[in-house]
Amino acid sequence: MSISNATVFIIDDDADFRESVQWLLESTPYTIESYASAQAFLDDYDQRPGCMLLDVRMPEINGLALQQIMQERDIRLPVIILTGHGDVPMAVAAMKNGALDFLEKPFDDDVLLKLVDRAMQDAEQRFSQQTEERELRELYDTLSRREREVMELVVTGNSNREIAETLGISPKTVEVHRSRVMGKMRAESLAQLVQMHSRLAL
Amino acid sequence: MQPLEQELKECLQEADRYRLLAEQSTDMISRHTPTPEWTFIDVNPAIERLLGYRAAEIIGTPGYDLFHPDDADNLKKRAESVRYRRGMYTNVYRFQHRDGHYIWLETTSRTIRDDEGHPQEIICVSRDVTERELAQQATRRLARVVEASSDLILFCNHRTLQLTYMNETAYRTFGAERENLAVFYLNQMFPQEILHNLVEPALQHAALYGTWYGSIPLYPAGNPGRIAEIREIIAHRNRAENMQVEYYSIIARDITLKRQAEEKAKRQQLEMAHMSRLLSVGEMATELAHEVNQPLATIINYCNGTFRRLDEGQITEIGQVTRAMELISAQAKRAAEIIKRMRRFVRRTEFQRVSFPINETCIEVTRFLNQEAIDHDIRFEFDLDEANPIIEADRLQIEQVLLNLIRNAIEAYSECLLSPRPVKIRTRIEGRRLQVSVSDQGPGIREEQQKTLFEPFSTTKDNGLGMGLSISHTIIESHSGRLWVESDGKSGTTFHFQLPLKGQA
Repeated sequence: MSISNATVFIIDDDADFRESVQWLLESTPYTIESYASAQAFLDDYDQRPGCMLLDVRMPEINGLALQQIMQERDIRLPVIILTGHGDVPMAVAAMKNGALDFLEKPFDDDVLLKLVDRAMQDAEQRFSQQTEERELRELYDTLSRREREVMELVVTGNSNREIAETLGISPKTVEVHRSRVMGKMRAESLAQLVQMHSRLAL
Repeated sequence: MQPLEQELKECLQEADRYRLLAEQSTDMISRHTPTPEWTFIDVNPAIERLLGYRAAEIIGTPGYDLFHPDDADNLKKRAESVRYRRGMYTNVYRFQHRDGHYIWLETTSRTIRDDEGHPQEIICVSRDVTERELAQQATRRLARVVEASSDLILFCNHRTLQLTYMNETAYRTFGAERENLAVFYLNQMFPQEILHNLVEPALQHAALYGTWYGSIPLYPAGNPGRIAEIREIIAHRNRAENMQVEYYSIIARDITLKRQAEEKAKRQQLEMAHMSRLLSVGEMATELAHEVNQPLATIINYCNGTFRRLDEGQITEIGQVTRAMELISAQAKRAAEIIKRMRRFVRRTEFQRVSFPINETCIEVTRFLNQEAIDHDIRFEFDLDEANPIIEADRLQIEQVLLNLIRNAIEAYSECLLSPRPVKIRTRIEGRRLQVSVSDQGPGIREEQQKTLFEPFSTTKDNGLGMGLSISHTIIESHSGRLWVESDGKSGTTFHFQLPLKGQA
């Protein structure tokens, strides 16, 4: 991902406010897209990288609920929460939901722009990580059931002999599976395979 | 001797005739001593029918003892019942019957004097006037009732509209002295328009149908501050002659005290309503602040965005700035509108009855609750009567009732996971009344709670004072309406209120 083609997603039910934020952000290199509701965003979103400016108070799906839906759907856009004055409990809940930061309306444009930039850097990291994970997942998906069993036992520190005993196969066969796993996962060492395993969060 | 004999014979015949007259008379003719004892000297047989005594029985007994104690000294006291005319006294008094009860007698008496003027005896002619006397007594009592009534009672000449009689209450209310009666005319007591629009039609109605009932305000000129109200006019006809209206009785009531009490109650109610609105707005402070904050945040964004562009030299045309300024001013108006709505709602006002369409008011109130609805995921559903009903009421107070009911409906969902959360507002014309219903699908209100619902300080909310429904109830009742609740205690609540439609109050 390159920052220049990243998108700032603005989600706020107040059309006037939405447009004003858009007007503020037009001087940035980012693409700006705004949505009147969480549902409109969910219906439209196609995994484009970027970050999100999210109003907590909205009808139907509010900001907090959207954060949860995004977690379920593995949408990793960094979220900057926009709150009204005195919505501290909401802001706290949003932070617990993994928001990057929160901004109280009305806000200073400098603060907003800095936060957006930070969010974009964060996004770059998150998206490369996500891409990596997606690739890993694709590799993992090529493993057979037996290979997965062997991988599981290998990364938890079992020797070939122990694995053979556990699975009721010969150590020779274990050796064959093991080298196939290493090859398919494109792992150069056992340490790398362990890392991959933890990243896959199996 | 012939002529003397003849004369004697004629005398005897004449005496016989007088005796016959005296004996046959239904009036009692009696002779008494001119002493305080008033002893019977002689009496005709009519006494038996009148007083139950035979003549022989009573002659020689004192008549004084038979007077009713209250009437015994009528003559001496020159009581009201005694009249004097051409040497004769007429006295009306009670006299004891032989059986012990009293009868009313009207007695005309003359004192017979000798040549020197000394009283010789008293000759009386008495008749039983019990019936007449009782009838008059009833009339006198009636007159006293009229006189003593706490209502204003006036008699009015049907042609000249002069007031021929006013009872004490009427004088007191008018602040007039009795002697000035002659100067009172009915048509001088009202302003022209009331006279033409109310008084004259009422008199005509009474003349046609006998009686008119209603209410005509009366502000006595001589007694500022007092208010009376004419409630009834009776046209009295001359039964004996041509059945033409003879005079009117006008019955009115001094409602000054009642009006003062009403005014006081109304002021208190206004005060309470105002307090309750302040409380409502207090409870809604967060939402309102948020609502005002929104356009303010928008304005700041446009300002900052414009500064940034100016700084960076991006703005080359004045049009780019004016566009931003247009947007800023639109947002400032939006903020002002919210504040205006809020101020209008919390202002302290006099009771003002105006005509307005209820549907519009319903929508207006939900706008006021916009933020609260968003926060609680509420969807307003309107089912408004297409006839666009108009009611005549204090608009602010009705808005207050709607606000209370709708906020209650919103809060009914607070312990409930339901989604969507509809709050339905329905208006319907029901006969001559308007019915407004506000429904939620929350957990409902249990029957035992419903009983105390409209009492002050009855609340189920943590932050409520429990005044909302009590105030709403008072407001609706003061508009001759009715507010009630319907709930099965599990799947929702509906509050209804009914108000008279315009022109039906």
